[in-house]
Amino acid sequence: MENKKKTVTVKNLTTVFPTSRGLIKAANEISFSMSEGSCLALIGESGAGKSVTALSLLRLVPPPGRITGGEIILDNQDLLKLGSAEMRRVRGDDLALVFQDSLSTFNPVRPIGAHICETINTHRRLSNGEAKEIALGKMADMGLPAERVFKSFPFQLSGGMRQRAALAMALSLHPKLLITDEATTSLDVTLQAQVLHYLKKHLQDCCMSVLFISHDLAAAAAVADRVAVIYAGRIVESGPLKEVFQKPLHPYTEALIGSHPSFCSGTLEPIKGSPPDLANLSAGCSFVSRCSKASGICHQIAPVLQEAPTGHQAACHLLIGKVVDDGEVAVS
Amino acid sequence: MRDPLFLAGLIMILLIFIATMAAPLLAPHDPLPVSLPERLQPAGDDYPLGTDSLGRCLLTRLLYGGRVTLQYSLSVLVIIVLIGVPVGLVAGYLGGLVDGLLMRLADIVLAFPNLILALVVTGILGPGLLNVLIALALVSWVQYARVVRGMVLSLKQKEFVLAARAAGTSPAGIIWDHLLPNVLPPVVVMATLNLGRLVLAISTLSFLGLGAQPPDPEWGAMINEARNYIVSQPQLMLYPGTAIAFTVLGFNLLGDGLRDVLDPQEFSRPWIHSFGKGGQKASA
Repeated sequence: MENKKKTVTVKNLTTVFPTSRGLIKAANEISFSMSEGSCLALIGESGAGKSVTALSLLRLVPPPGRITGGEIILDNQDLLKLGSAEMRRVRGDDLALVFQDSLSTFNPVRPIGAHICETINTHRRLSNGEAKEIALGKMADMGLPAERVFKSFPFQLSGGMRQRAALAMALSLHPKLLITDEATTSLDVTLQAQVLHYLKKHLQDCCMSVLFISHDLAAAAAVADRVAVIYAGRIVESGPLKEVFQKPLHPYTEALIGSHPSFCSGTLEPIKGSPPDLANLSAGCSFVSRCSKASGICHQIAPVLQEAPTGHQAACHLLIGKVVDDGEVAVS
Repeated sequence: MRDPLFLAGLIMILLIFIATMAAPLLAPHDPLPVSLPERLQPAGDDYPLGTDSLGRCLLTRLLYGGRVTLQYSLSVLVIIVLIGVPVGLVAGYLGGLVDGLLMRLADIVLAFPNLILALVVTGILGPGLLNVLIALALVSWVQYARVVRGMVLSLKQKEFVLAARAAGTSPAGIIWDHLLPNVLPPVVVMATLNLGRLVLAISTLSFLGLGAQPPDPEWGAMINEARNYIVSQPQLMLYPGTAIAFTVLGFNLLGDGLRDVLDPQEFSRPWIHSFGKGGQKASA
């Protein structure tokens, strides 16, 4: 399907949190792969496991949570097999993360420039002047008044500038994979457009992959070329952007699109109910209690991801019938 | 911001510092030689504050005595900050076994009243200023370790620490670059307030005969020497007593003021009010 080199392959990544109510699988057998220069949007509502997936990729799951299985292959090495010092070398260098709230991601008592230079100096043997040079260059790329921002403290910048500075920091060492965890969510629309613009520009210029985590379908549609929908810790649907948005296979994706103002022409349809309690999931499909099309089998057997001919996957028992209805043949 | 009490404290401390550090230039006499014919002289031209029971100039001894008190208080402070802050940072950030061991050690020290424990340690080591310094350092680093650890426990939950880890910064780098700068302003306030208490502690131990040994001048020791003349010559006790009170008050005012000055708006401040004696200050 894609002939470009795969940069990241995640297989069956599972992260659990032991709680008093039992083991919670916050990320359940997450699998995806990304090629150079591509952007995968990971979409889901709050608590679906988006951030846990992001932190798992960096192996920074807060205790007592832990990764219990799977593989994270970045650049032909399995990150889960690295020692802690080796993993530290990967973080920030090959693998960078941008958080949602840039006011709290910067240390309030240090200027922006110190943060960026710290990242650079952690991974490269450079003089302070050279590190500053790189930092200023990256900030200028992001359309920031570099000299001023370099000396500014986090609280002296606007949200948009700060988020762009965070992006400049993440990009300062040309990571192979950039993860943006709700990086544009806290910004208003104009700033969001600005940050997305720079992100997209950078994506085209460099050969890196971006994992764009968001609950915002519109923002995802603006940058991503592939989409994965995550629900209750599992990827329930994934495929090329257009395929997923125009012909959603999973009822949850359909409902998600139906509840978004810019994708829904008629009345907004909220998804009824709330996400299931991860501590006691039923044997069947995790979406079953909110699904309008649920039938008997959905209550008993959890569906697995099945491939549709379009290079589009979904985990739903209705998939076979649906694809046949559309006049195509299901391959399961 | 323009706190008159802070200014008063600053002036008081500067005054004490200048006066005592310039003692060799300011003092009219030598602090040590005994001259019995001139004992217990009233204040006059030759002796601005009179003489003590051994005929030594009281003003001279007051100035030199302050030097000893301040020098040793500062030394103790530097030592306990240098021990307590790193211990707190490491224990708080690393947690687990390291934290457990260091904090149980701190618990043991905290189980005894500070001054009593210092008395015991000095008793074992023998009297002398150096031993007082060691004893006070041994018992006082704990409060810094405790406070800093508490701050680190809340700081390490902040997203910027996670962000720094995500950027590949090592634990040492996080402690030095991210935690220390956040911990420092409250520590400075705490240290200033603590200095007053250390002056008091050193004077107390000297008063009890464990610190400065005769004939060396020291405020606490001077009060001790003046005990026998409390009725006939009360000024012998009054002058060093006032000096101690003045210094302690100065440091406390300075510390309270610094708390407001060093409270940058961008940093969350719940812990600032949780230590020091003036904790009941209304939050601005």
